[in-house]
Amino acid sequence: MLRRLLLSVQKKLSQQFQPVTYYYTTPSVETVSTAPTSSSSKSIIYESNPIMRNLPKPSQGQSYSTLMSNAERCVDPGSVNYEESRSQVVDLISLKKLLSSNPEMKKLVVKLAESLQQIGEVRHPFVSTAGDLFFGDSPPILTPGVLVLLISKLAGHAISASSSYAPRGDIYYSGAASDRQILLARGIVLNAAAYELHRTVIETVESFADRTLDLSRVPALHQGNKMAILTGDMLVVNTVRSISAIENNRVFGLIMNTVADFSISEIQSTRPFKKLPNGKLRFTPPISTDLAESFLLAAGFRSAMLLAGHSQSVQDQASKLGRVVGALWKVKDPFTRVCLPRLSGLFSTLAIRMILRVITALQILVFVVILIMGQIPSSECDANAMIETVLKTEPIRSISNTAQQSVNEAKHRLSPRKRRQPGRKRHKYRSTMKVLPADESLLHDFSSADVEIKLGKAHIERFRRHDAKVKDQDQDDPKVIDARVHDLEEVFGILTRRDGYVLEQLLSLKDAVNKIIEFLDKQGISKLPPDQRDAYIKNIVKETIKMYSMKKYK
Amino acid sequence: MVWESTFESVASKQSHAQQQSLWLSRRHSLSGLQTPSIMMVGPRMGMSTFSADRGGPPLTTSSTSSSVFPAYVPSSPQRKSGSGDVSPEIHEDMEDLFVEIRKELQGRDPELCKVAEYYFDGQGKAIRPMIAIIMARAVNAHLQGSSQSFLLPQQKKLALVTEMIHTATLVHDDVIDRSNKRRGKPSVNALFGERRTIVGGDYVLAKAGAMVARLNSDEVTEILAQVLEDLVHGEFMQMDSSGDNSERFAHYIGKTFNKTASLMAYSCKGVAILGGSDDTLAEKAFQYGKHLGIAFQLVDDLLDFVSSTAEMGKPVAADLQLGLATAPVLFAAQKFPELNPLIERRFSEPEDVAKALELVKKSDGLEETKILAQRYCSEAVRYANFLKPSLYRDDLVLLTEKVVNRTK
Repeated sequence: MLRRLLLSVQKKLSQQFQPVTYYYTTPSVETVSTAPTSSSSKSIIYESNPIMRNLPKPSQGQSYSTLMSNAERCVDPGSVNYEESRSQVVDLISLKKLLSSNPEMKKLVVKLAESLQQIGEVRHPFVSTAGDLFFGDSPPILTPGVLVLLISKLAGHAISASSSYAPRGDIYYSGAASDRQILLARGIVLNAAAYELHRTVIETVESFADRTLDLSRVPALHQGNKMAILTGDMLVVNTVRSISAIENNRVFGLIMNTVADFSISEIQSTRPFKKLPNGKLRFTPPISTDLAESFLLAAGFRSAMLLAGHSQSVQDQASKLGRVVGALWKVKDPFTRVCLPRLSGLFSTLAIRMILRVITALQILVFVVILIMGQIPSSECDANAMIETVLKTEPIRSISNTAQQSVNEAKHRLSPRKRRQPGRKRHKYRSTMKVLPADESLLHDFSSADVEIKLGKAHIERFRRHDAKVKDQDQDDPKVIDARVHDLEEVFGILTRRDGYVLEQLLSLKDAVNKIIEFLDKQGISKLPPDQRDAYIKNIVKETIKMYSMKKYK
Repeated sequence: MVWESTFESVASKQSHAQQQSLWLSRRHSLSGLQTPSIMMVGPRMGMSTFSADRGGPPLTTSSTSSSVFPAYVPSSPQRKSGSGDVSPEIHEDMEDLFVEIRKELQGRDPELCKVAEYYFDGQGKAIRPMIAIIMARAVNAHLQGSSQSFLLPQQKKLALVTEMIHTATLVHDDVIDRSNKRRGKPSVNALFGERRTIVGGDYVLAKAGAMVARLNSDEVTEILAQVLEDLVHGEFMQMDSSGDNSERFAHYIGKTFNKTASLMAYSCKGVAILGGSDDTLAEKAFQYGKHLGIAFQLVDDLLDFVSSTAEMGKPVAADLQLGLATAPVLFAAQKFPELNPLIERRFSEPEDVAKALELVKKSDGLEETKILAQRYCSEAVRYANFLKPSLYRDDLVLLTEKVVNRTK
């Protein structure tokens, strides 16, 4: 029975998946290290009480003290356990890991399977969203967590993080995120995922529902809502767990406030037009409805700096950067696009994408097989481990021999170690960020001390103006240039100024107009009389540009 | 009996026959609903004060409470078990409860505030903050070695948080259960729609979390995380009707702890920690809250069968209609095994609810549920007696009586 249900999940979810057109770049995560994630051995209070002895116990939370053990061993990128540490980071922020380690989540999969027949037919958005989040191939939802890891890596951390969070000017730039910063990244991912699932709740109360709602579909839609609420709540709880394990109440408060911000932005999105006393309608610009992610990253970036022991002014600048990066992520989703450095030519790109599709299909298949067997390996979210598991599976081996060669080639090409130039000298200053050469150049990575940075040539002048340390142009690629800046506050300032790199994309009028058009389509503005429509559009453009302006972020 | 194995360590080792006769002596209290109310709506400031009737009819269990509860000596001659109301200071502490919560919920979006504040209208029982406040004062008195004490501002904040977390879960539950009514008025989802309700619940929870962060106690923050985990864990347990008959009762009590008692237990522990108690004292506070919480839910499940819609503010046998098998049904299934298939299919067939209702009434399920609640209360009293005598320790004992004798 379970097997049949799970196979139906696999079938349904594979139907739900969009073709893989992009994936998240792994190199950025791979340069971060972590400590082991063993659970704490906190005593269970009711263990000693015979009344409750045999009752189900709540699962244990992580304790920072146990996470701290072995941390120092891992912070050095050159350590022998570097590879292991990297996969632990991926495990920590992965939703698949959560699914595999949480009995409630496993039950949820079964429930999902049971109700899939029902809610799948009515196309409840929970099905596709949960499918992407939990079973998708490196889902974009990891992006905010990875960004927080990257900014954490850039920030360094206090030498004795367990004893003090106060800015002491005594920060250890290790090129690795601390355990607390990794827990923060995990919390950020879980929080963003919780938003996504709660957003899939559909209105079935008759007076609020879409007029086209077919009432016969309501029971099935309600079942989907129920799943969305419970799964979202579960993720909120795991967010709170992760953030509380950091043992810093300022960070805890910041993240809890982002949940409140999410609620505000969501409820605003339900009423894009506000009626004024004179009877006219006033439009609320669409961007304001999408800023939940912006608040989340602002809090994440600020918290990363706070945990590193940076000053208030650095925290403020980081928060500002997080805010615009979040908005940019929401508006353009640029960080999830494929970035394949050192690959040239259409053929290579297509080949890699095809391989990735094969990997996706195999991942899903293996996940289902393993779930049926009742055992999910702790590292199933690691693509490499998954591939190896797949290749070891007897029935699959015969059909995957050819694919193995291609996969190995892809892994070889994607390896960050391969890209590094051996013998390159370490620089005096920490690196800041790099931009990969592409037609659509993208903010790609905040580098660590052991990674060379690349900055788009077009933007280097701004760093020069601010006395940044600029290195020579890259010999291999004239579009890329290396730069080093040692003042974090200055870097964030540059990035968030009007002519800064990040805002350059956010402020693009073309994007704003496209967003408006998309929004108006959803609101059915075309049904309005032409004169009203024109007036609204003028107002919308004006308001939107005002929202996009730098005043908002200063 | 299933509950006997579950409740193996209860201090008073009464035989089942004794319990039955004890029950029979006050059986009329269930059907006649003569017991004093645990809750009244305070006219002042539109809030509930959880005040008991002053000078009302005597507690129907008071005459037998000494045989149920362990030896208990009131701290002052004026305060006797079952004699009436909690201390006036507690009412003062509770007076501005909802006003303060509404203040905390103020934000930049008026519509969201309207959704978030909907259930903070003073119509709720507010038992959770009351337990936390009484425990806080009792612990403070214990530590100070006096019969009276002050309530620390942080403890008051935590009491507010308990009500906010409870309400946030109610709000989400209303959408999950598609409730149309709560506390005798339209449910929040019926009034504002499901999407707004969900984000409203998230908002209340977030504000409660931010308040906990401001307490700046890592231990209390950890407690909040544990409570939330238990609440969601409980919701998942409620969805799961699998398991054989022998495990069903343990599953039910576990669910009850997670969904109801955890918040009470951990809030008691939290206020004890904030008051400066050591681990032992905090543990006693936790145990008190846990046992009282389970008893509270047992009575709630019992009242679902016997109270009218007007009293409970929701339809009779609402749990059965939601497919839930609570203590009265599980006890009844011991006598009428034909209930088991109905439980397994979650009362989903047309005549299931009516048949289950009939069998529960024919059985001793309701009586046994109340006896079990009393035994949990007696355990709670045992833990309360660990504290030094004070007016507030008496209030903790009084609460157990009110919980077990409430009618709505």
